[in-house]
Amino acid sequence: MLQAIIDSIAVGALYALVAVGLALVFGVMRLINFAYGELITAGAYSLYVTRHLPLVASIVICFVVCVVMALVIERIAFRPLRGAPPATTMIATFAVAFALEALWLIAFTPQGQTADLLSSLNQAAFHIGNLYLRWVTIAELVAGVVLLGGTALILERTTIGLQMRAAAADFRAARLLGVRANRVIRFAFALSGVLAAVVSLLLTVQQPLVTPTFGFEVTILALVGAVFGGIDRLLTATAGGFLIGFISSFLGDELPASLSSFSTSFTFAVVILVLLVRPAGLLAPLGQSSVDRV
Amino acid sequence: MRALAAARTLVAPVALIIAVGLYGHTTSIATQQNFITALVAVTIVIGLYVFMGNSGVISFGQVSFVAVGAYAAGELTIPTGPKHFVLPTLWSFLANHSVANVPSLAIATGVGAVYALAVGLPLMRLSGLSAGIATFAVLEITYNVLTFWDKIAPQSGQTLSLVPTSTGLLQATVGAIIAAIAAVMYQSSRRGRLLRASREDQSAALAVGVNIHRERLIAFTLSGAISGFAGGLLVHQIGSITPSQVYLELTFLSLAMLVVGGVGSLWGAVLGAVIVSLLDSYLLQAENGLSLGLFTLTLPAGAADGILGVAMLAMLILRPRGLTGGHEWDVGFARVRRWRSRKSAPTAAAARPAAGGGGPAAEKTGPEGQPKTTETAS
Amino acid sequence: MPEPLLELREVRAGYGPVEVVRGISLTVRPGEVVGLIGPNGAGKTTTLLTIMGVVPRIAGEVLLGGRSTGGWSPERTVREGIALVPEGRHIFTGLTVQENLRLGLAGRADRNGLDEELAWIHTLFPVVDEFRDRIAGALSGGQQQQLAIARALLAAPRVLLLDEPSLGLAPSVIKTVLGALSEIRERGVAILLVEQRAQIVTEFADRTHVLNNGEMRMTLTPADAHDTNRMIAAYLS
Repeated sequence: MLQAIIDSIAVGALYALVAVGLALVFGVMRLINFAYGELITAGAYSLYVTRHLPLVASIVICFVVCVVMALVIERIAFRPLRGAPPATTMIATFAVAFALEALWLIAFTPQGQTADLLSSLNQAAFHIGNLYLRWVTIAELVAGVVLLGGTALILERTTIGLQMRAAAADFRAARLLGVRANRVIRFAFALSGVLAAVVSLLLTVQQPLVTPTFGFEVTILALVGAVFGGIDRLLTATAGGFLIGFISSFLGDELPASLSSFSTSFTFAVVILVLLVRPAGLLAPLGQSSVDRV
Repeated sequence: MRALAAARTLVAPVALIIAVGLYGHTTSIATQQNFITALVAVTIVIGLYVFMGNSGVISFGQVSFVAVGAYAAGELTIPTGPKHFVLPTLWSFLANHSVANVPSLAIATGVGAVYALAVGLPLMRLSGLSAGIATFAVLEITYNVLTFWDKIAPQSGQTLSLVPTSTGLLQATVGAIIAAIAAVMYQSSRRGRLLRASREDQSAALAVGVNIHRERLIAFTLSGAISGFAGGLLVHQIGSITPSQVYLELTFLSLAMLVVGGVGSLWGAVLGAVIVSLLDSYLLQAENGLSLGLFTLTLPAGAADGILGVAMLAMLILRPRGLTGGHEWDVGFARVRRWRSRKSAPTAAAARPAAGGGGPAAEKTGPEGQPKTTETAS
Repeated sequence: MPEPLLELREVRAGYGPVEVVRGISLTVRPGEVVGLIGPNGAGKTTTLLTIMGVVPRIAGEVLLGGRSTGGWSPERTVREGIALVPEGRHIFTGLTVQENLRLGLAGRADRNGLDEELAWIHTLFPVVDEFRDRIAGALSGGQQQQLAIARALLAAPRVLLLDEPSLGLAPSVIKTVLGALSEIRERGVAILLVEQRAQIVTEFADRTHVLNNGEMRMTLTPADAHDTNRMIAAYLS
């Protein structure tokens, strides 16, 4: 049981990171980037492609790929659709994801490729009795804290971060002060790309086989988590992502055998119940809901 | 008057449906499947449209109702002998009964409606992003249960097979037409128009006493019924069904069909479904070699989806409000108006469809970017 | 007489098929205050938004220092020297006063003279310095209005547009605001002032245009502010 808790914390940290990436873009654009998972997949595949290069080079290239891809997606799916109905942009990002998954399928076969550069992190760092703590778990927690802290610092202390917060609050008013809309949006996407790269690095440790839907599955659950926690604010979205990751992993480990295959159902039932009572998210402050209830 | 306006809204969608059916009839048996697929897709997307188009709430869960309809109709049409053998753990009611094609479709419709009603009772209070995620959760739960609960479906997500393939061109065409008629009858009814009013301006609707929760629930239940019906058509087309066939890919594809066509109108739903479905089918065929007159086009395996994705993106960038812009194609308007004005002037004014049922949904043209709330009203 | 800094020539603008501004022409010279009054829906706010590039211009021209602003995004318009204090202020209520001010710097073309200007702004609106670390949402309406103007000034505009700054303000606060505007005008900034309170603006501005239904109906001088007949004619035009 304790082992399940430790492992679930690791899973939660990973989902928290994805949730931050989603919430960053949502904050500025008020839209979900369904193609976000493809950034993670792209990063993982780049690790495969560069597997014969020195590790540091592979990692740097992974970051570059993710950031560039994020900016490209902004340019081709979001920019042309500024002012379009939200459903349209949402489906447009899905169309991009669809097209990219076909690309991965063709380029890297449906069975996927193995990117095991970092799999040594999957080994145990410490033993306490028959509990073990893997390096990757530590890495995930550290990454979570550092990245979340770093993102918060950027938002609070830098000019571009200030402009992002303003744009998230009132986009038009920000523009009327001279805040460059395009620059702020590109920065948000680039930052989400950095986060995606970190996720792809960590994910390949435990799942070295990179399939075309590698990043998509993680993203969907993280999105649910972010909304579950409260996607309006970075902190609540992250916490929501963490909780969902934790709950789904924990239930998967701890449910009795007869029910364990239904762990997803239990997780999602919890999500529905919470959203019914707190539509703005479990952790969203009361009265700050911009989501309507009828 | 209203009936006339509603009938006019039906003309274009039904004409296209019949055209697809007729054209399919002229092609080879193998190619016919593409057209049947398109017509079943039309029915699924109409189911989605009845809720989303009228309420403005995005739902990721409608395919759940397609799923239960498919499984219900599928299981009940497998002859009982082989059924006991292939699905030993099935719930006795399902295992011991077997019905004919049409009753199975009726049952699928009913199952879809009941499931939608049960799910919608709590969920219809939600709007925007929370509604989207909650309905997505329903989809996930449905998928999970259908995969693992062997009392109502094959174990561990195995294929449900041995289903008679009774959905040919005729059944698919008639089914799509029935769905279209149901959609138009609803949207031109008083309840349908009340719901559309709430979609445009929620607070105004609440202020005049519209019970938005109830109206949405009604639309949601009807949507569930049509979706369940479509599921019955689907399972009888393929002759089998697996949970993954009524899960994420179908969900996003049907949403894309609706948005590409135009969320606010039935014509958008039908047009979007036909175009995207036929495009998808032909691209898939091209992966096996498609003869285009002088040369044969062979796409690498998997390229079909890629091209489809790019095509949908392009269509959306060119027409962000969908191919139809969310408007119905109001045929015969000019003719009706001229006839009326020959009779008497006041009636001519009354014949204008702007107030009639199924008229174009007033599209808000906001001058600047996204709305501030997490509401995702289409 | 110096050249007009801001000039509108037969400007038509609107939302989609609806034309809200129907052929407006006016000029504002450096150091001038020009008022714009009229009933609700007359097109006053739309005029300002058109100048800023938010509402699309259908016809006519907007000129800044003789150069056309055609095709300028709102951000560019600010950087070129036109700042707007919008109706309702649009203060970022979740950010501090200091952060709101820093945002105003985004529209500033260069930082020359920033320190001196900051000092001047602090004398104009002492409240802005006093409450610098407070969350802007906690300020009163009058204080927020002062913050909004201060914020706009930080972009070093040559033209300042104000949309109903007196809305919801107590008379004493309005006096403070008008006093500040006087000083701003003395610095050579051209001011276009949209208001509901006809009397206050007509008295204060060098000239005041009356807008109705998107068109300019008449022009008032400060002397007209006390001429009841003229004022009634303006209201009924």
